Amino acid sequence: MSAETQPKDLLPLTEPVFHILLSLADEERHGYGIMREVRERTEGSIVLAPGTLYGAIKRLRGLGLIEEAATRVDPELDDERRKYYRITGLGERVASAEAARVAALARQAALKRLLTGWGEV
Amino acid sequence: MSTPGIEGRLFGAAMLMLPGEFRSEYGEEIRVLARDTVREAQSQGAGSARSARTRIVADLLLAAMREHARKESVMHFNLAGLGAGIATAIGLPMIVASYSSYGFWGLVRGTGAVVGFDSSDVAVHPTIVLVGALLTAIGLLALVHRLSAAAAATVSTLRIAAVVGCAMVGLGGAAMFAYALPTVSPWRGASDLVGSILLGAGFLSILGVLIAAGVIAVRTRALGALSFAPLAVVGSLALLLGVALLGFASGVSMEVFLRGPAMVIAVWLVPVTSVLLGAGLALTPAPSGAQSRPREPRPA
Repeated sequence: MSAETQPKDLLPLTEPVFHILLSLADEERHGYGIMREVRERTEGSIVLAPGTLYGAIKRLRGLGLIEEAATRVDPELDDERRKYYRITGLGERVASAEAARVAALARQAALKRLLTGWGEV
Repeated sequence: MSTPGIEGRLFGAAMLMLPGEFRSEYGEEIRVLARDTVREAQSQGAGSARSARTRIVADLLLAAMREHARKESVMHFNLAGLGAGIATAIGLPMIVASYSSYGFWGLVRGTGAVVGFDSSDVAVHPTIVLVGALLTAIGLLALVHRLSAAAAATVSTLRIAAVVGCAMVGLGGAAMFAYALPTVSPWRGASDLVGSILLGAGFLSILGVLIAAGVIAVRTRALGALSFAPLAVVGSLALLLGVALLGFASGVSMEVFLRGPAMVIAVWLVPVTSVLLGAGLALTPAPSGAQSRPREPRPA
């Protein structure tokens, strides 16, 4: 990832990628933790299957948006040692830029009365 | 996904379809996540677990396709490769067509008629051999040129074998032309013998180049996702040879056998696999040629 890369260069994000960044925004998680958090937060509408999840994780790591934290035991699960991932500074800026982009779109839709009950019009 | 059975085997097969590099880096984590997902679904009933397994396998298959496509980002259309690709796609089937008047012979005859060829002319078959040999040589040299990871001596040997093999096939066609002439000549028998030897030896040489180049291509991913294509051509040619030999050995009327489904399938597989090889050449730039276009950084 070059130093000149701006968050907007990486937009728009796909839905799984955006949700993975959101999931890691507040704490480090392993794959299963990300999958569970996304599913619960979206009330089951987004369920990340293993292939999609790790394909996205690979690319996010390659772009420097997330990084491996450490391998440790999850007390809620068994003794399986899992890799934890955390969001990077660039990852936070990209997630914020994507959220702002989506918010701007939603605002435009609200102005055209296509989105009711959203924000200040 | 620890549960054995068909779903477990499908899961294993889907895992194998992932690119090796991706599998070695994330394979264990994927297994753990799949196991946890299925375990969680099992608590909601057998149907839920089955549905989870199916979804995981389907997702892995899609992920395998995506990861392979991303891995082969060096593949892109290039004009020089297109020429070599077309030569390959046409050349090898033309050589096969020259041996047999069946399969796609109707297509060859029809195409020849467009450019004024009389298919009953004795020169038709030898001409097809000559043109087919020339086009095949172009295709094989382009294939060998893409084996940049191979040793220089291997590449040189393959180049020589490709040129010599195609030249032998071409000369064999010319010798057969002398044999096919209606004029009685004391050299007629010799022409037939020499033509047969040259065609056979040339064919084997081409097959050898394809086998060696195919193995190297698969090992070094020289043709990206289509690196298997040279070996697919070898397979189709071997199948054709096998079916033909079976026909000779079976004692069935050759007229009946050659028009049978086994022979028709075997004959048609040659142009199909040749087109695949041609596509591989057209989509893979030669090492010293066009460079791959840098991709914009995108997360997905």
